[in-house]
Amino acid sequence: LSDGSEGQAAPPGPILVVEDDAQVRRTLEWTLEAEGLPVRVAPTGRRALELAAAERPGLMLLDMGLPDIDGYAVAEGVRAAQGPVPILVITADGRAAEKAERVGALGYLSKPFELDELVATVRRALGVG
Amino acid sequence: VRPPPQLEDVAVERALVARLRERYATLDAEASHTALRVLRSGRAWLDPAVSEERLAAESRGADHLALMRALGFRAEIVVPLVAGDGALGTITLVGGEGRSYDRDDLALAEELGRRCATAIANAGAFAAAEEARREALRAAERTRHLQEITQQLSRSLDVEDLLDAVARSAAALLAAPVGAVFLLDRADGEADFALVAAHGIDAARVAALRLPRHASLAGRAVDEGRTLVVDDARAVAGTALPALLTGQSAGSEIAAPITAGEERLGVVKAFSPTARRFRPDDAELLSALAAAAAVALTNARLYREARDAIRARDEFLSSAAHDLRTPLTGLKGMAQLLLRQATAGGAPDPGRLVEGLTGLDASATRAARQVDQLLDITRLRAGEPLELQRRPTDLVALARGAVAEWQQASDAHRIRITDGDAQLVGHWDAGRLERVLDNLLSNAVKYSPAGGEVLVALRREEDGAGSWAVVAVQDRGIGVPRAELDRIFERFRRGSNVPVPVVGSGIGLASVRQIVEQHGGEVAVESEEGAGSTFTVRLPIGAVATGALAR
Repeated sequence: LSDGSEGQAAPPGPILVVEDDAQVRRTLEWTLEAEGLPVRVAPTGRRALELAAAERPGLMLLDMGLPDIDGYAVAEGVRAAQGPVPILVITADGRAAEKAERVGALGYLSKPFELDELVATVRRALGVG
Repeated sequence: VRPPPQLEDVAVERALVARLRERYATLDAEASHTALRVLRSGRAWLDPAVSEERLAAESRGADHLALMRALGFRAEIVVPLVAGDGALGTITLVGGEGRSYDRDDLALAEELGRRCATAIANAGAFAAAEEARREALRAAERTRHLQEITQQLSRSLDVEDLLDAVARSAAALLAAPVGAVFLLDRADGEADFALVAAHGIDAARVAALRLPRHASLAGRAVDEGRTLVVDDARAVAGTALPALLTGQSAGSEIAAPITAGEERLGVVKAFSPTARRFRPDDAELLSALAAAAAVALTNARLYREARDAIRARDEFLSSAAHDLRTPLTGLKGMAQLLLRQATAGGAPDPGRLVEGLTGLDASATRAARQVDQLLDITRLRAGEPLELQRRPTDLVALARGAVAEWQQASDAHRIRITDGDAQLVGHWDAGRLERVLDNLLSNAVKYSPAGGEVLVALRREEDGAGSWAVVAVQDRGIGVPRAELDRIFERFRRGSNVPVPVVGSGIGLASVRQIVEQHGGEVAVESEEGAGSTFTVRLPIGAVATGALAR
């Protein structure tokens, strides 16, 4: 109560990046860090559930095609543990909009995407862009 | 004249004669009766005064004689009924009660006989023509019906609809209450028959009805390649159709084989529990229906296969595009990120620069590998062999690399190399074997969604044919249903127990087999549904030329 945050809403949690491809994961992590945003990364659905249980994410970037459990199960698990968490869907197939709607996401990014587009979409989702 | 050897009165006038006719309706051809003499000679007969002797000679017993006497039998004229070349019969005029006949009467009777004969012959010809016309109409009607059915069958590409139509048509064409289609369970034609469609019977009795492949009417029809009729179904061993379907076992049964070229598909049967027996023209009709059914079923199957192949290809293309987009995203994203840092003037962290560029290279390698795989698959589809780039290659080193890559992708799985040789070197195509290992590990991870251990065993084996490098990948996943194990290496084939969300093109194992077989090796699978699978690849180790090992 002495850190000067009285009267402010709790700061949103970090951005949780859930992506199985190492290079894409690295790119997302470094780009968002360079924007000054806190980032956590998970290469699998299970790791994502662990991280989300430990710390409520402010936003989740979710690849729908994961090797262990699918994106829908991850979204469901995170929301069950932490309540509503805004989600941006990342997908490589042609049905990004459909998947985003099904999972109740704010929006989506279709692979391959531009970094400018990534940053703009994330900022819009965080309501600070 | 009725068919031999009798002559029969066909018309009588007087009541007394009617009584005579009742008792003495037919004349023996052997008897020396006047009517028979006239009939044989074709000449009219006149007896103006019948003597007692003749009356006695002509009578057919004491009662007959008494009747003729009571009638006052006095004179007789018998004229033949002749039309064309044939004698149709005779007319007998009896002068009773004192009436006699003369030559004029005879001439009149002869004229009457001629006219009657012509009239009778005409009537008979007309009746025969009528009957022939009706028969021709019936035949035309059945042919038209068959044609209609054939057209209808040729229009349908849905197998279920087709089979129903064939069963219904068999009953309709043969005017039988029950029609049914049985198909052989397996393509080799050696399994039992299973009922696949039926008409005119209780649906509850239909499910799971089977007939033995041999020792049944259906089996005999298929073996002999022709339509068979049984007048009494009770006499047929091994046919459950009548009793099971209708609750009645008496009746006539007919079965026509359905064959497409050399392939035996099954039979179409009809059953009639009433006394109606199937005739030769019924057999012809059912054979024609079976032939139409065979063509239609073949068409429907080819259509379904073509449609499935197109769908599988579309899914494969979409999946291939999907697989390429991910490494492209890594390439593009990292390139843009490094470019951003360079244009911002900041010096990127040297460690991160190396890591990012290494990742770029790995993404490019992955994309290239996927393009290579796509090209191989197009060769596979075209039935062309691969051009292997053989170099001395260490399978153990390739396996270690693949395991490390997949372990990084999933922390729900524990992927490890169990034991075996430190090196297994052969003259192989390293890039393609990497793809084999990648596919096997990808499947092991993908089809064990609950996680768990994936074990990779590497060993050297010797047998009469030489030395083999063996790699076995074992998972504890969903496994492959036993019935599908034979087909799992076919293109676009996935297990029926694969949950829908699992992404896959159904091409991986077909590629694995293609690559392994071109190396002179073999791939096998052991699996138990629900308990996991083990895929084993054996590669021949030939003489390896000295030289640098592929990485």
